[in-house]
Amino acid sequence: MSQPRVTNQPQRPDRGKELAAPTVLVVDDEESFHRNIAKYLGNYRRVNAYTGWQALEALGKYHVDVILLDLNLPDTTGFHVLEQVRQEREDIEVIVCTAHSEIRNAVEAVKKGAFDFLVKSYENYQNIHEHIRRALEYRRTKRELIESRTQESWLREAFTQLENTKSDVLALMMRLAKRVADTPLTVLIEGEAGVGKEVLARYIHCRSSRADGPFVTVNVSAVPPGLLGSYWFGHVKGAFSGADRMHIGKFELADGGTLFLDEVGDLDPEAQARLLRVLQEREIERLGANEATPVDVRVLAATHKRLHEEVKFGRFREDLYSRLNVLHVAVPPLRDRAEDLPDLARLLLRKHANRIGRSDAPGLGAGALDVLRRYDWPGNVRELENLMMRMVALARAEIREDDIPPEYWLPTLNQVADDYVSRWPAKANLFYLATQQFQRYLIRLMVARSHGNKRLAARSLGISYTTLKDRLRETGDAESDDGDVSQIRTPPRIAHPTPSSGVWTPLDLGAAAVVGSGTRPVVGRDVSGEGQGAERKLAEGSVRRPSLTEAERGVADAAPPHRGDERRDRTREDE
Amino acid sequence: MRATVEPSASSVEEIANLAGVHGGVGVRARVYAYPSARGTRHEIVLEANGERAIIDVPRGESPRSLAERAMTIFADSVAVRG
Repeated sequence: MSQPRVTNQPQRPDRGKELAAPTVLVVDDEESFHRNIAKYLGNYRRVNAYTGWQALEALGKYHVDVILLDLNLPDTTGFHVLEQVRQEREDIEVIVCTAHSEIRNAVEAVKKGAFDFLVKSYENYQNIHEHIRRALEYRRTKRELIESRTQESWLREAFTQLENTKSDVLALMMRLAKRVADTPLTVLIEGEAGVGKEVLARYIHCRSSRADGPFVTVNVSAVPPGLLGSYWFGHVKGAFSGADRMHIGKFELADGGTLFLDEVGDLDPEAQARLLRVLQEREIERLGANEATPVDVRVLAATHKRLHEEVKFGRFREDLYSRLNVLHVAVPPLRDRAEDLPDLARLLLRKHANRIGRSDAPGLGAGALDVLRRYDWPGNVRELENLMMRMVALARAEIREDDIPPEYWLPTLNQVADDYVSRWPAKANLFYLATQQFQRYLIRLMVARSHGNKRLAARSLGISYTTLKDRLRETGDAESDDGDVSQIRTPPRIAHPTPSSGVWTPLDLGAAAVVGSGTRPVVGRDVSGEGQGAERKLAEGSVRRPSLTEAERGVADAAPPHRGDERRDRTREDE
Repeated sequence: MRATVEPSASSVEEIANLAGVHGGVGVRARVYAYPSARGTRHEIVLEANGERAIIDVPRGESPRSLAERAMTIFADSVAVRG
């Protein structure tokens, strides 16, 4: 019995259930107690410990949700174990289960942080399932409270950020929102998905006289049409089969506060009629009830659709639209308020650093910020938040440009593609040349960075080893011996003629996608100044030139205009 | 905001008719009273630049003062929408 024992583990096929079932650590020196309690623990995963030391060891080893703790243990007291648990873990609930039923023990146990105190009796054994369920419920509520406190402090910061926006359009909207906040007027917030419509709705609620009342959010599109009546207005007991208790609807829950109807443009015609009636009459009828209940609710609505167009096409009721659209706030997408991006990114970094318990949020390097600024953020603030969450997980002191995932670099490529397409609109094989050359460049770059390890390079690129070898063979980059990859070097920087001198200078990776040594005829004679665009962008800083290692830079400076020269260069370097 | 109060017509429903100019936008508000099961309910109809909005006045709120406040906000909102 030197190790804690895990019992009641479900079989392999139920792996998901095993992870979902809460774990109970039973700490008692009597084998008979373990046997008895096992009968009543049902589906809970069980870890048995017979001493205090074993219990503490089990906590480090297993995920434990609830502890059933005896007070008399061979090596220490239950109180001591309880103190240790409380010092180190807030997320575990402890139920003291002892034969010593003195009041002073119960008082001390609760004082030291136990959730419950049970006397060993068959009655309590039979109800142990219920005691554990209550402990888990208590823990969930506690977590929600912590979460809501974190949320509140984050919201305060978000509101400050909104008020101090550097975007003129948003500043105008915020002035309107501020003025309308302390009136009972409805507000229609329009904006693309992820722009922060709910944050703005919360801002209006918090600045209103209803701030102390509830803020209830309803995502209209997430409610099945058949359940909408009960969901919005509630039902009385026995209203329909299965209605075994009274249910309070969202309108009543929001009484005295604000109801935020998200995606209101997705309402079907029947729901629109019901909403219209509530707005007009200011009263609701629970399903199955005989009389209406008055409600005092302010409605804020949001949609990603252009609601006036929905009205025009007859998909949305005009009378409802007129009631929702007293104040119209259009939140601009993130790409149209890039000036807010640095502050917003830092705010989100702080939010997620706090959430995972980091006291210091990572900084945002100038290079990384530059990449973020160039991206067009189709997912808006939500997408930025997801990225910042990932960045916090990297646990760096400062986020560098290399930390930003490749998909956020793509706009650079897009710019280069735009540039080249505008330069050679009639070039029939441009697509083929561009994709081939980019693949070639990327593969060779990765092989070189993997020190010639092609398997590693293939893994890094997310392609199979066979594909990588095929591509190298197609482009003539494969060496004779499969095992010897030492000959593959960092690819030369792709050259681009400067308009004034016609001298070949290295261009960025994106440009390499379109022009390249293998496609010399396309650009090799481009000395006419047509290729000014990319160089201009480089000069302006709108196209990024990736940083080069010293070795890469050496080769880059000698970038050859075609493959023959390139090979000669390699030989020269080998020598 | 300059608002002029025009006396309501003889209709029992329309209790006020306000008009004014705010920020260069002409705005009009009509306040109606409807009998309902729980007493009278009030509705404000706002119009500016061809846009229309309806406000169902919450109980306990003065329809007249709400209409005056709503007119300026609505005029600004319409101006922003262009």
